[in-house]
Amino acid sequence: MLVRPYGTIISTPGTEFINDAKYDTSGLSDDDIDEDVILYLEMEGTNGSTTFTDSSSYNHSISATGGNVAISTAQYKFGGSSALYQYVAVEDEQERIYVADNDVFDIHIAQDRTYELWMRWTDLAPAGNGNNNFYYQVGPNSDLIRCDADEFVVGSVRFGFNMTDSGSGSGVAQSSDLTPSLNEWHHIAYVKSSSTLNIYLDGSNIASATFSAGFVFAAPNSAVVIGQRTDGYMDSFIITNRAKYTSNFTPPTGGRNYGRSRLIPFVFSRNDAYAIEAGETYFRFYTNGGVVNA
Amino acid sequence: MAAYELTHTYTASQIYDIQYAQINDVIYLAHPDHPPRKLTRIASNNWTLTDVPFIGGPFFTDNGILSGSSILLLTSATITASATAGTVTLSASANIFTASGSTLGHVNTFWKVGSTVTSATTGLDEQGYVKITAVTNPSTATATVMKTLSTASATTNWAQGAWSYVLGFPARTTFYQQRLVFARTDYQPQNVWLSKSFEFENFALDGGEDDDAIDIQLASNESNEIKWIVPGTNLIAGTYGGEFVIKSGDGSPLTPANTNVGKETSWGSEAVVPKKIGNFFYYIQRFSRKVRELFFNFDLDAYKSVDKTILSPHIAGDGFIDMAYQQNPDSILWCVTSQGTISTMTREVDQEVQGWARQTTIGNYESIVSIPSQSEPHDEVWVVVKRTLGSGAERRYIERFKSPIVPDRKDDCFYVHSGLTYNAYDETASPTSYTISLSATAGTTVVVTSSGAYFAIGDIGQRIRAIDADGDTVGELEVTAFTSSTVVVGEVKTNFDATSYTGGEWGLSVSTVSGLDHLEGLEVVVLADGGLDKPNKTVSGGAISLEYNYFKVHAGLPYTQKIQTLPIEAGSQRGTSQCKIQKINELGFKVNNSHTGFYVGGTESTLDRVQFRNSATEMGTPEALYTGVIPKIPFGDGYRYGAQVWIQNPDPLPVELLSVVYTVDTNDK
Repeated sequence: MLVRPYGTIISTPGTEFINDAKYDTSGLSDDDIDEDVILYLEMEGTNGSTTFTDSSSYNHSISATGGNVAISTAQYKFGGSSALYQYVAVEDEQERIYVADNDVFDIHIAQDRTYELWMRWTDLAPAGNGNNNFYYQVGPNSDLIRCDADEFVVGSVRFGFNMTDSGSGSGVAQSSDLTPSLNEWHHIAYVKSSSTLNIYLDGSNIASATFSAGFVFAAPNSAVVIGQRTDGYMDSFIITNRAKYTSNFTPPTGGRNYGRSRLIPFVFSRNDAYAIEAGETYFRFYTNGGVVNA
Repeated sequence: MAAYELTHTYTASQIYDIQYAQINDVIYLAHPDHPPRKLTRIASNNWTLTDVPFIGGPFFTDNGILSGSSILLLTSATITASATAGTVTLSASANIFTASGSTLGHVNTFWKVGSTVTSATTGLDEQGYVKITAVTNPSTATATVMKTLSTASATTNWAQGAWSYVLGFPARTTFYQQRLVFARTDYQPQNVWLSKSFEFENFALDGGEDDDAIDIQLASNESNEIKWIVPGTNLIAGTYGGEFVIKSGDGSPLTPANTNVGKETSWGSEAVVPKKIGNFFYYIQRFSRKVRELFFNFDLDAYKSVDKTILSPHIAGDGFIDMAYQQNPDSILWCVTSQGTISTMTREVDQEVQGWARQTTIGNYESIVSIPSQSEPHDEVWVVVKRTLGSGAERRYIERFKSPIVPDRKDDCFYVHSGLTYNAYDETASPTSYTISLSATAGTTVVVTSSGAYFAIGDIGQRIRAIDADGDTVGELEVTAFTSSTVVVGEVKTNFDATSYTGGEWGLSVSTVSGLDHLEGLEVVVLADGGLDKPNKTVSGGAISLEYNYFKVHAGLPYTQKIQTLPIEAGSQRGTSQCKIQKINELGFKVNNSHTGFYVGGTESTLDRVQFRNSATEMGTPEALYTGVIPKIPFGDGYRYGAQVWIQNPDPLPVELLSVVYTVDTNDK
């Protein structure tokens, strides 16, 4: 309620939604931006660029091979770009993103972990070779971590999540043959929670498995491959050292707030009055009930 | 189209520490870790942010340098300039220069070297100074002479710039008597610098002419940093330890020679720039729990500061963090608290009116400003609100309070938070205007033809309504058949007054509303065509499905309007009624343009809805907003000490209470 100058009490009017304060591009929430995130590829950059960066605190070294994976502004789930993979038959090293090996990627049975990404396929099984390795790391000792969607039946893919402790045990979860729609964004999450592996497609569980006895530690010591034999757009690839999803969920629809924003008034005249949104590293300008567009 | 953005280098934690001063199309920004900057509007979508290109000054204490976190005075150290003009090399007898590193160090700072020189052009004394362009080593720097130096010999008369990455930058700013004012750096927390008159970016002291820059230190028994500085009849600076007035000794405009500083009050301030209502300043007292009113008192011949929260100490919660002043339609000071609520103080000094109220929402208010509305005759209040979605994700939204003036039409009432409106009539007017023609004004198979593709097969069952200039219905039909995107057939329910309506004069009802993604997973309340669409809806996929189809829909987060009267002092046969058992028997209200379905009770847990319906209201239509007396409301409360009336309105409709009248029994024993 509000007190009016002549002594009556009146309802406080409502507020109309004008705009989101700016938030980040990743699909991460504020709570996610912490030490648990060990790899974070926002896939942001200028169109055609082959420079990818890790936004996690680890700042991993990233490289792209072959020129058939590059930043594309044609499609994106968050921000203004994604990674476009264009499969080239036979030479399958033409479209890979490599992340330098780091012990943080190793997995212990007691360590929970989530691998998640957004994927927009243009072709599920390019040239009949649908073997989408979203995350692939193997070592000379055959320790293995793999998150994939492979073609077993023409026109469909089978999502797989494999963690192998060479000679000791493994966990392998595999979905049925599925046909996620082309040219639409899909959220894929591979979650290790204690001794259970789960795969979620668009927030729904599609596969589950438990580790066999003996799995203790997998330390594949090769560079991590992000994307292989893949045709389409990938956005917001995140690895988090905890089980973010343990039951069906709504995939993240937005991103991380930039942090607190504040408003600064700018009044030149009645027709030139602005509320200036001052956020982390940016100003935005509002006038006449809306945001000023570029 | 993407929002226009301008990038800057302030971090999130620095944003709230920025203070600003505006003149014309320029806002000067001050922050202790950044050089003063100016944000300039060129066009609505063309702004620039640049470091202020200062022309000269101000200067730090003579011979002062920073050593660790202490200031050393190297009174015997000399600087020798290689020439008195042009590009020069400065050679110091001690290590006094800081090279560029993670910051610019002393690069781009002004240094006073030598004494003043009498200008051959103006005859005025001018201080010779340089601008360092590079630091070779701690005792050698390259510089450009900005004002001719008095000597190229070694001199102990030197001072480094007061503002730099070495000594920090001013954190406070304002304008006063045609001067730009800065104040408070880390190493001069009580200093105030005023530019030359009408030369806002020139702080050179020169020979002390009336229009020269001014450098003042607030002398006090404590070293309390300046928290804000505001212009009034005098320049007023609030420090952590008190409030100072800077004025000329003789009442004339401030000059370097007549500056007089006095400490007027000792309440202390927080770093929130005061708001001015009339001739009164409202500032937040040290510890953030009180708002004080600062004004000049002729009886005392001094400034006086009055606690405006003394009767409502709870209203500040854990402290105030931001303020805005809305002048129209009512004079209200909006104060954001650290708990995310807003405390409003209605203040009319001349009428001696003051009233606090608390505004809450499902979320946390974080920042607030007030700017004039372009479309309505009032000041708009804008806020940054942090809200938590159903998924648990946190978002910050820019939202704007609607006008407190109750609209003429009930279907225009907007009493939801973070809400949006669907207006079927606006949809036919913009961005494309659609005109419809009817085959008849009445009948069961009236053909409606649109000037453009507007209809869909899903429109069967929806209604088409035509309205007049006041928004009243002048015809309505229910769509019974879909022919094409431009033609539907309907059965007239209310005869039309014409056979053709242009865009904005007609609308097609909807039974779902989308665009509510920002409230995903949250429960919203819906006011549809002036009535409640119960029950509340949960936003899924950014949309809600309504119970019926409507033309004007407002949907948003609900909030409950609450009033609690003070304990009644009605007197008794034996004097006061205080500490005596009371019972309210019956209530009456005088209301203005109000929803009448609110709740009353003796406690918050025993509320009953007021049952008041005008017999003239057509069945099946929402009750119109009511002005008048609501008499004889039974009040089912028990006997209690200090009887009170609780009034609550959870519906998204307005209530304006003019008075509450009750009959009360007081047990005099």
